[in-house]
Amino acid sequence: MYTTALQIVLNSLIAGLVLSLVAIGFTYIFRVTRVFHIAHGGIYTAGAFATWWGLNITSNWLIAVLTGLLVAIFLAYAIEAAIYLPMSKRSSNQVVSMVASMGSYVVIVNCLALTFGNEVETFGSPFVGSVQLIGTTLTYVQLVQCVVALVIVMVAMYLGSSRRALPLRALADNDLAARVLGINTDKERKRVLIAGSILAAIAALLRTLDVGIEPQGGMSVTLAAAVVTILVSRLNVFLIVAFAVALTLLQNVVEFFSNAQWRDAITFALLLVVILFRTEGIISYKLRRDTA
Amino acid sequence: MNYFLHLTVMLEIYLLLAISANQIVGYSGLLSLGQAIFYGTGAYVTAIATINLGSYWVSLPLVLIACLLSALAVFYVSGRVRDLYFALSTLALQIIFFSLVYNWMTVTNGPYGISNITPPVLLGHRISSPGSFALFGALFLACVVLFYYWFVTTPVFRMIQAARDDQIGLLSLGKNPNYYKCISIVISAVISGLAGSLYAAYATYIDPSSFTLDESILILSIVLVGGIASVRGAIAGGLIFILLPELLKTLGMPDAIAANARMILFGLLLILIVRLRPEGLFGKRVLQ
Repeated sequence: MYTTALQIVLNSLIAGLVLSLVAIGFTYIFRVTRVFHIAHGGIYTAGAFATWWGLNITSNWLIAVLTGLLVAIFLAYAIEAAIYLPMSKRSSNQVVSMVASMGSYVVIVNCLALTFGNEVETFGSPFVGSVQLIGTTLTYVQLVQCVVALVIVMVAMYLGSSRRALPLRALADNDLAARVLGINTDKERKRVLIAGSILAAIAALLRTLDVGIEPQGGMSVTLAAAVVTILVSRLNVFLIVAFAVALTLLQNVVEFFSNAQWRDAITFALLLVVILFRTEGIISYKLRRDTA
Repeated sequence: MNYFLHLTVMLEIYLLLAISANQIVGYSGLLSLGQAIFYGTGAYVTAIATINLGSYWVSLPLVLIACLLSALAVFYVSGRVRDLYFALSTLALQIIFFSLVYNWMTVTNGPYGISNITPPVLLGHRISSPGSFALFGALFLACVVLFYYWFVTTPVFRMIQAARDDQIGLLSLGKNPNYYKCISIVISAVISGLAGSLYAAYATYIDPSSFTLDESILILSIVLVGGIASVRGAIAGGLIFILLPELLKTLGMPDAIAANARMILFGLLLILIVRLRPEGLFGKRVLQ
């Protein structure tokens, strides 16, 4: 029983770290641009498929990963330039921008389905095998996921508390004041969308090493990241990672004691509880002012 | 001919769904991502009641009661918040609903679904062919459209719109905006439930895959493309959604590609509408 519990905790820690990469991107994008960026799921999947395609064409991991990242960056830039930024200049509210994001997601996912088919695609991971650790089993893929995600989380924590993140914090707090004080808000918005999309593409690559990827696969990950965003409701990388790991642990415990289909139900029941009983922590004064 | 009649039935079902979503999105200004909850409730109650009680007509009042109760549950949870958080709370309820129907094996038969749903019998005539179902669906649709012709002239309808446009103004008149939001959600739930009931009786088999978040997004998209706060807009959105793949087929596109191509065009249409024409094609109100 002790070993099983430890195995669940370790699995949750690693999967939670990978989820936190998506959640960090989603939270920053949501707080800075005020867009509930559902298209993040499309970019996540597109990044993974582009890597898969690059690997099939060149058989070179470096080129394949770069292809995935470039596709994610291109999509983020295109969505921001063609949709979000013009809508922001027109002072569209969050619901309207969410609908536009939903449209972008539908377009990306169906383009992927049209190009690559609806089946699950796998990489044929180069990391085959496992290690025993205090009675638990960890695959090499999990170790790679853990190391890569940990390094990126550390970098994100450093950047999140550095001076480079100050314009983003200013923008999240008050975009008008940030502009008045000379911050190039358009540039910062693009920066945050591109950085968030790079994180999503890396997370997608790490997950694809383990379970493969399908065109619709980005939605559930994005929604889980969105739940973390709403729970945390702050630009704090440490809290985002902690909540992502805790949420994954909760999902895995539920899956262990019941079945996999209750995972999402528990996640979103938690979201409902937070929306209903911790409203003041989620809908801040600023948000209400924006939507009034 | 049968294919044309099948399309007609599906068009009627989606028109009902679009009209129901328009009630919440257009007339109450609440972006709901949970329309498939009511659609699924109507379908499952019809399936279970028809099989256990032996008659489609006995199931109809049960559908109305179930939709009323589910609408009250949705209102209780989501009615406390608005704007983005209303959308998120309905999204959460939608996912919980799907998990419930997927896992509640003893009632819904989980992922295997419910088959052999008995078609309705009207005046001794068994309604099972696409032709008779097209007429049956038209009857439902006509009832709903006629209801709206009457409903838009009532003071309650004006109050629902007032609750959308100026809550504080309505409060200052001594009215409770939440009461009117609740009425709006109940009306929407009942119409969606009727669409679900029609779908269950027509398909004679239902499973959870028809009542997912994707379906809710689709229903919402139909209304936004057609135009909100207008029954004409909802009908236009439904027509575009159902007839678009037929148009693609006439261009020689295979079925497998047409399904994805339709969604791509629909997604693009959604982006263009939101960017360039926020009131939709025939809407009377800008999405805010």
